Parts: sequence; C-alpha cells; structure tokens
Amino acid sequence: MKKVFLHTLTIRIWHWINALIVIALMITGIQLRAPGIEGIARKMAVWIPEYSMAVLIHKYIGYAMALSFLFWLLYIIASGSFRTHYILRPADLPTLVKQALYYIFGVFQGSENPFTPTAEGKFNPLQKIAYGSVMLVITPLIVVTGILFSDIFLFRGVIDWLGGIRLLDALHVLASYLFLLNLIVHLYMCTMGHHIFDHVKAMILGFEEMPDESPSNH
Amino acid sequence: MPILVIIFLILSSPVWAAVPSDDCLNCHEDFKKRTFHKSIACTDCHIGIKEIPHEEKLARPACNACHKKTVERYAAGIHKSKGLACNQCHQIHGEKKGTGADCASCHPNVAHKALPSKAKHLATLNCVACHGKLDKSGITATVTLPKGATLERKVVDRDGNGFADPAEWHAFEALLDQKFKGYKLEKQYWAYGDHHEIMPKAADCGECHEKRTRFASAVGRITDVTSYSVQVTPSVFIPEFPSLREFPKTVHGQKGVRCTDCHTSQEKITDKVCVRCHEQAYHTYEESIHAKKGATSCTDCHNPHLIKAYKEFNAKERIAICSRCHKDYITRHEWLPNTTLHFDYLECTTCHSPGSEKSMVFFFADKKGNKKNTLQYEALERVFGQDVHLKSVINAYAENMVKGEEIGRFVVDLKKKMGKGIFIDAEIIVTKVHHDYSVTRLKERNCVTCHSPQAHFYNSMYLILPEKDRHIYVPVKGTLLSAYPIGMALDIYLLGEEKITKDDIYALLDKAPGGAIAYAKSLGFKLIDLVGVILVILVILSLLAHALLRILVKR
Repeated sequence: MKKVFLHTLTIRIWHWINALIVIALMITGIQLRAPGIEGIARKMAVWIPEYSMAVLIHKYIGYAMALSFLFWLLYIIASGSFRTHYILRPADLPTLVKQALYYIFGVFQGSENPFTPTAEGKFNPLQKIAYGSVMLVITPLIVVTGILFSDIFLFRGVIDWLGGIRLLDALHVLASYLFLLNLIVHLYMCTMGHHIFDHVKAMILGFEEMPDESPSNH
Repeated sequence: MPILVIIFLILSSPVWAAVPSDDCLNCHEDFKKRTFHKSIACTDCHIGIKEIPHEEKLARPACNACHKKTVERYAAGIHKSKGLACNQCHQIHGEKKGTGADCASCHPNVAHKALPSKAKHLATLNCVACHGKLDKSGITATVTLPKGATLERKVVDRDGNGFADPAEWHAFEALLDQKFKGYKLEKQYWAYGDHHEIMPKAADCGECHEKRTRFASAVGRITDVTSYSVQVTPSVFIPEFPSLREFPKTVHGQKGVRCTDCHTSQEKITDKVCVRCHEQAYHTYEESIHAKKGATSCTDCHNPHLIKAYKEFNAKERIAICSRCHKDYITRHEWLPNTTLHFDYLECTTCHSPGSEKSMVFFFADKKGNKKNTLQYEALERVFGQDVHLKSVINAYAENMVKGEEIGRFVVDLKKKMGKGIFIDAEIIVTKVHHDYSVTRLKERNCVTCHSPQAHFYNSMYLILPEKDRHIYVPVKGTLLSAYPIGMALDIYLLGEEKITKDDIYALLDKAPGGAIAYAKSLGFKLIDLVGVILVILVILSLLAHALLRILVKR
C-alpha cells in the first residue's frame, strides 16, 4: 500500500464548506419550489423554516455560494490545478470508454479500476466531464441567475433582456436539477474507492491509500 | 297782507328754522365724539326739529334720502325681509367710519351642512361669492416659478390666441410638474358684491359647476423674471359637475339611476341614501372595523359620480383610493420582503378583505424602456379594425372562456403587429367584493397563503379585455402561467406557484386529447420539474441497482 497525496488543505476545507452550502441551498430550494413540503414536514414533526425564512436563507447562503465558487475558480486557476486536472485531452478519449465499461461491467467482474489517481492527474475522463460541467457550466449558471433573482428591481433590465423572470426561473431550476443529478451520482461514486470510505477519507486527510501499482502498468 | 302771510310761512318752515348741531350736542353729549356722518348736520337726518327742546317723538331718519341706491338694493335682500334696519349693522353715530358689521359677527360658525366639500369651499370663497349678488368676480391663478426660471408666454398659450383652453393649461401644469420643481400655484377665487343685497337663497352648485355664471372669467398669472397674464377657461379651476355629460357613462348612469333618485334635497348624501339600493354591502360594511374606526360613510371611499365600476380599476388605481387615508402603506408593509414589488401586482384588499374573491387577472401591455402601459381599446382597434371584439379574435368559438394556448398564440401574433414590447401583465386583485374590511393586521403574515399552488387565485384566472367604454373579464382555462411561449411574455412569477400536478401526469399517461406531446408542450416550463423529478428517480434507482449488484458480488 502507498499513500498518494490528492487534495490540498485549501481544497479540502473548501469542499466541506461548499458541501454545507449546497445542502442548505438544496433543502431551502426544494421548499421554495414546492411549498407543500412545509405541511408534510409539520406532519412528520420535522423542523422546517418558515417560508419567508427559507427565502432569506436561500438568498444569503446563495451569496455564500457565489463567493465560494469565485474562490474555487481563482484557486484552481492560480494553483495550476485547472490545467493539470480538469482539461480533457485527446488521450482521455479511449480511457473514457474503458472507464465507463468498468463502472457498468468491470466492477462486478472484479476487474481493476483502469484509472489510478495521482498527483499529476486525479480525475478520470468521466470525472473531468462531470466536475467540469458542474463547476464550469452548471454552478456559474445557478450563481448568475441566483444573483439576478436577489434584486429584481436592480437587475430588471438584464432580466428583461434575457427574456423575462419566468425564463430566468426556468434556467435556475433547470441548472439545479442538473446539479442535483450530479450530486446524487457524486455521493454514490465516492463509495467506489478501494475501500468504501477511501474517497471520503481522502477528502478529509488529503491522501488516499492505494494498492501498489499492478505490474501490468509497468 | 297775503304776501306777509307767505313770508311768515316761509320763515316758519323747518328749513329756515334749522337748529345748529352744536345746540343738539349740548344735550346729546355722547355724539360729540362721532366721526361717522360728522360732515352733516343732525337735523339733516332728524327732520322735524323746529326748536329746542324738540318734540319727544320724531320721525325715523330716512337713510334713502342720501343712500338711495343702497337702500334699494337692500330692499331686495334677505336682511330687509327679516326686518333688519340699517342701524343694526351700521353704527350711524359711530366713532369709526366703519363699513358695517361683517357676516360672522351675526353668523358665527355656520355649519354649512348641505355644502359638499365644505372645507374646500369655505377656505376658498368669501360669503358673498355664494350668498350675494356679484358685481365683479373671477379666478386668478398665480404661478410663481422657481427663482430665475423663465417661461415664455407661448408655452402657456400654444396657439397664440391669447387664451389658454383646458388642454393648453393642463399641458402647462404637466410641464410645470416635470421641469419646474418647486413652483407654486395659488388659486384665488375672488368675488365682490354689495353686502346689502344678500340673496334669500345661496347660489346653487350649478351656477359655478355647470353654467359658470358666477365665476365667468379666469386669469393665469405667470410670475418669473418678467410677469404676464393669460386668460384661462374658468372650467380649468372649477371642477365640472359630473351630472349632465359624464353621468350617463357611470355605472349608476348606465343602470338608469337618475339624479333625483339620490338627490332628493340639497342636503349632503348620506349612507341612508346609498343603503336603499346597496343594502347587503352596507350591512356587511357597517359591522366592519373600518366603518367603526375610520371611514364611516360610503362616499368617503366611493364617488357615486365616478365613471368607472370597480372592475374598471387596476390595482394601482385601487390602491390610490385606500392610500388617500392610508398614506403610509409602504412603510407599514416593510415586513413584507420586496415591498414595492408586491405593490406592483397587488391591491390593498387582496389581503385585507378575506371574504372577497381574489383572482389572478391578465391583460395586454406594452413595455417601452422601463415604462409599462396597459393596451387600451383604441390602440387595439387600430390594429384589428373598428368595433373589434378581442374575445372572438382570441377564441373563435363562442365559449365563455379563453385557453392558455389561445392567449399565447394571440400574444405572439400581437408582438408581430404591435412590436416586441408587447407582453402579458398580471395582477392579483379582488373580483368579487366583500365589504368587510376588518382585517387590519394580518395575524398570519404567511407567505405560503399566496406562494403556494393551493393559493385560491389560481382557481380564478381572468383575462381582462378592453371593449368600447368598458372591460370584460373572460375566464382563463388551462395552463397559462408556465406555458411556453407565454412563459417568455408573461411578466409575473410567483415563488411557489403551481408546478406539475398529478392531473398533469395522468393526462400525459392517458394520452390527453391531441396527444401526449401536444399536452407536454402545453405544460411549458412545468416540464422541467416533471423531467427533473423523473430523472432523479431513475438515477437513484439505477444507482441502487448498481449498489445491490456490488453487494451481491461482494465488491
């Protein structure tokens, strides 16, 4: 077994703060979208904020999300992590299929994971696509539409230019569903390490324990 | 001898036998100080005194010997017929040269009960204006421009005929509001008449407000660096009676109510008159806190001469009625997030009249820059031809409703014809009035009352269509709120509004008329939730299956 260092302290702290932000936004977001939840929660004796409180929480934690995103963007660009880990390269294409086949069939047949994360590349091509789309398309879309929502009077001109508040809402919610889908897969995939909690541990401690590389790779 | 007799008679006549005033004042000392009537001798008025001491009973002085015209005018007035003599108002032997008593010394605090808009009338008019015969009267409107500002005469009198008609004057006032902030406009209604001729009956309202016989001229005086005057049509400064020309257009007029049905006397209309027809509304209102604490009479809120029925009022105009008293309504609603945004789409009674029926109403509007204008009938007539009934343009069938998709298609078409600024505006207003305004402070400041699919106005949606002289409310059926393409042309969005429902899903599965695809299309943005939720469920199920397989093969 060897230890591979994957996540810097900054990224680890950011990840967990961001996770809390996302959870809060998801819960309040669902409440805003489906106010009926309030009644169900009350029946089940689960505490849920008042609607107006949910609006406020969603708004201010939304600002936090914007800051968090901005921080992440600046950090991965400045640290060079963006170039190292996120950009899809031509060499990724064949491994993309291999990786997908591994998740669908290989994992049940006892095959080895075709990809081993290293400090020089911690994401497999599928991860690059997933994280890239979440962090560079979906999150910015949610953040920008969310900021426009935060002061309808101030941004009236932009909202009208975009096609109206109804379209803005549609974009915000569409992006949220895509985010949610990604999040569900993300939560499941984090159990796919060598041991079930290996990926989670890595996000806490920074390094992951890997089996010694198989001779075939050498 | 006869000549001697004649001479004697002449000498003994009163004229020649006049007693000097000084002799009179020897006894009537009090009158020494008199200033009034000082230039004439006592015996000029008190005729018949031949010698001193004079007879005890003297003839009454006849004022009309000198003040002939005045006495004639006085004879026509009410004071004379009530038996008032000159000296009851005038101090004939007074110390000051007075002009007689003023009205208030005998008539203090006249109630003027029958006078509508009492405060306004009493503040602007003197007694003679209504109670006297007028010698001269007019209106002077003085406009004082802010320091240093100038305004040319041709701005007031655009056509240069030396006369500002109502259109010209109103345009001028609008200009003042816009460009001369801080200007002052003082209106003076001046009336001079002889106080001796007070009419038995005050002038009736129509003399000013209809026939305009009492204030027949008006002048606008504009003072700035140079000052000048322009004649103005007096009707600009005296509101016209709604009665003759406008009343037939009012709801009362249209329903055949005649002036005399309410105005049985000149007394001010009270609730007793209104309740004769509006019994139910009145009794509901009578019990409400609003009636007990604040506005007590119908006319405090309602102007019976008004042209519009309440369905003709938009939210802003309805708020304007309440905010005449509740001026601080914005600050009182600061607890409400996005206060002003809410008031763009609601009226007061949307919340403060729980018993009334609320609806979401849609109407066509035009957006130019930041300004939204509701489309008026005239504008639509220009596009669709004279005497158009939009209802039949939108919905060709003779159904008493329009469908969401029909409105959508119409707006797309309207945008092509009238420009890109066309959109559907919406408000949530009362469409069936209940006069109980007891809810002063909503105990439940609960957003979910409105921000929820259960909000009752979703079950009562109307499209307001302008017709000639009125608006009609046509019920809206089907999805309008989320549907594309209206989604893009609809300028209202309520957080928590109705999303995909069980009915929608059943309709999709059951192959709704026109096919599932057509139905899905009509759902518009609601589809996002449907597809989203289905995807989330599918992903979770497949991941669960994956996990299960992993457990089974122990990986």
